[in-house]
Amino acid sequence: MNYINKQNIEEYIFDYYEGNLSDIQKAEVMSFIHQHQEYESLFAQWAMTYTLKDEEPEKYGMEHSWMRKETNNFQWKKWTTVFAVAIIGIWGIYNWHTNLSSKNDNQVIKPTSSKEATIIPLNKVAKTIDNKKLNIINNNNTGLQNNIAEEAVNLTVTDTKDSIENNIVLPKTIIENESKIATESKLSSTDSSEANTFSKEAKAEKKAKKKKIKLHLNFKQHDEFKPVNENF
Amino acid sequence: MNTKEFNIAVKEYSNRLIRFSDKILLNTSVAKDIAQDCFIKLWENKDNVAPESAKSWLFTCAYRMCLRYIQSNKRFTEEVSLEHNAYEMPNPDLKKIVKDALDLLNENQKAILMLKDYEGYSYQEIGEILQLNESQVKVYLFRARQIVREYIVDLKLVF
Repeated sequence: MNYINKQNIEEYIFDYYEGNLSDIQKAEVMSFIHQHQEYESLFAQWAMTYTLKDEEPEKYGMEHSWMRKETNNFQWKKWTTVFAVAIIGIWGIYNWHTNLSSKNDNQVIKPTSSKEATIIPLNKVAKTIDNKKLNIINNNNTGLQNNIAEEAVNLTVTDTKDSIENNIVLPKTIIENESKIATESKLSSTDSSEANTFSKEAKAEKKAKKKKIKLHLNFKQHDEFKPVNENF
Repeated sequence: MNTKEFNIAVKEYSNRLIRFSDKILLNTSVAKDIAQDCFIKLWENKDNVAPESAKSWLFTCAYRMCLRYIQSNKRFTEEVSLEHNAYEMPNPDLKKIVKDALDLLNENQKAILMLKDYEGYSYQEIGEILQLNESQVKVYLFRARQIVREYIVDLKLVF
């Protein structure tokens, strides 16, 4: 730090009022002024140059003419939000309702026992029967029985396809369905020649589907199979 | 910066900006015009100016516009001199005297003294507004206060 002298006293006084000095430096400045009283007036004069400090400005009254009008978007935003929420709500309820109804329509009873496995919803069966077969059904009632039985097998297989490994009911259900089909086809073979031809075709289709099912399922039938679940 | 923040800036700084420009230019109507132009520019650049930096932005704008005005009207402002002002009738109001003394300062000194005393800016902030470094600000301020002090002494207001 430089020593205070007559050449730099004015700079020190300036720094004193500016607040640039430490407490020790301030004390040194004051000490110097007390020792040299000719600088007391200089010290007072410098103080006068700070009279404008923190003075409030006079008011020119221009601020109101320069202000921008605030657009009140609150109401508009509020109603937009309410409308959007209402639309989303309605859409959500509609979606939920349609999903619920479609679930009810598509609900298929999964087989838990051999008895239940044979129960197939009629609408599901009707959907899966193609037009060709429907024509034949119109002509021959035995064909209808056959087709329904076939579709029962198909539906049981497709519905339980994903849970084959965990559900042991399936093989038994299929076997039962197959046996039913066989007995029904035997009965139908005695009806008429047209019915015989149809039954032959049906048998051929059935055999093909059997092969497919066997290939698809890839399970082996065991004579010693004993189900753990009593429901079996 | 949104409309509300802009209006707060107008309310807060409009009088300060006019006074700042007025002290530099010694012309209140021009100072008002400059302040208005600054607020128009602020509104045009409202997306680029943060509300917290609006004050320094406005003073920088005002200072530059004042300098531009002085340069374009230089021949009219040259009439102001120290001798002309120094020997006016003494005024007992010290604030008035000091305000009069501001007229003796050049634009830089005046702007620095205004920003320091009226607005309470630090050397660094003043330097940013006026594009000067801190030591330059300090030197200009020292010289400005020295001129004001000499003016007061010349009026024989102090012993």
